[in-house]
Amino acid sequence: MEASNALFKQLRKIYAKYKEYIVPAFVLVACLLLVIFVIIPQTRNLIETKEKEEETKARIRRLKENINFISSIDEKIQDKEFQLLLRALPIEKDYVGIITAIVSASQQTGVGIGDFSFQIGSLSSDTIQEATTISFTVTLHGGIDEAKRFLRELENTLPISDSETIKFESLSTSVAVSFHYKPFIPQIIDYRTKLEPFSKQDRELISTISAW
Amino acid sequence: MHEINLLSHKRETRSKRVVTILRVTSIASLVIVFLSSLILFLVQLQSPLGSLQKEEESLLLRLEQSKEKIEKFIVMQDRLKNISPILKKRSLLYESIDFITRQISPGVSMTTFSISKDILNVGLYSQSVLAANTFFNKIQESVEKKQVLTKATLDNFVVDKEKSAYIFSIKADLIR
Repeated sequence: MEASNALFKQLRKIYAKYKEYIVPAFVLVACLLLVIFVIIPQTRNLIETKEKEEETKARIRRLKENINFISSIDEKIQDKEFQLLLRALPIEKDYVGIITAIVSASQQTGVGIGDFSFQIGSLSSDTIQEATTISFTVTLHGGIDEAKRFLRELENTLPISDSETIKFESLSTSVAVSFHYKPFIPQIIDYRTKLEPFSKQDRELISTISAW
Repeated sequence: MHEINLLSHKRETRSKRVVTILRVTSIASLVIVFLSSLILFLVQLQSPLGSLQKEEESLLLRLEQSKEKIEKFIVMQDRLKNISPILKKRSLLYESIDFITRQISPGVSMTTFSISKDILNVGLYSQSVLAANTFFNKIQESVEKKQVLTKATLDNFVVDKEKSAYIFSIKADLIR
């Protein structure tokens, strides 16, 4: 008790001696702490807010561009081109489309077709991500010239095909043709990503395919 | 009773100056801190971030109404991206067939033929060794000029004495 009284008296003496210095010093220290713990963080927040504003403005610009672009698309034309591209490169094995293409090429060229076989593989949806092929082997009634005519016609028929081998012996020719397809992996659409219109090459490709 | 100040006049003046400086500095610091906080608060209050975010949300909702159109567009882009390289890489075997059949000179006929992306095998028949020779020369020339073929081998050469004919086959590598 006496010790604490003595300490208290000592502190009062020091305060009385230095009181003119203590208060301003205390204020200075308080201001310094306010700068470190309040002003600087607030300034940082303000800078971050400004950056967020700029980013949001950029996203708004892209969204408006996307809205303008999508509004300019004619739905009927888009539908037509959409169906065309799906016929050209189906998202799954299109046996009907392939057989139709083979029969059509035969009819257009007058080249008779005999048996044909194909590699079935998995009938279920594929998990593959790259374009792949189904292989068909077709027997043609005729020789090399007939095979050339048939393949030239098939090349300009959908779905897109690629001749792999041609074998001619006696009076018949067999051709192995690969038809392309590529599964489409559904994605979550990010509306904030800029939608780029089709390039000139894309438009030319659509025009070429639509003539087949 | 008179107070006797034992401090020298110089030390007293210096001490007073220090106190004055401290007081002025502390008041100035207070004012600066106060004004800075006020300015920062007002600037933060005026930020348009809130309204910009609302505008962004409303534009997103508008775009979602055209979801089907956008999905079709994305699928079309994907198809085009994959169709182009497929068409560029197509082998067009009939062009190689065209080339080979043009090399077959009169007097030579084809008996068998097979072609893939890399290899060509042709079985031929001729009753004239000159015609066969002309054909070999044309094949050799096309290999030298690297036209369609890179390498050609005479696989087989048989003389059919009964029919006075020559049966031979050529195996060649195709330029990819």
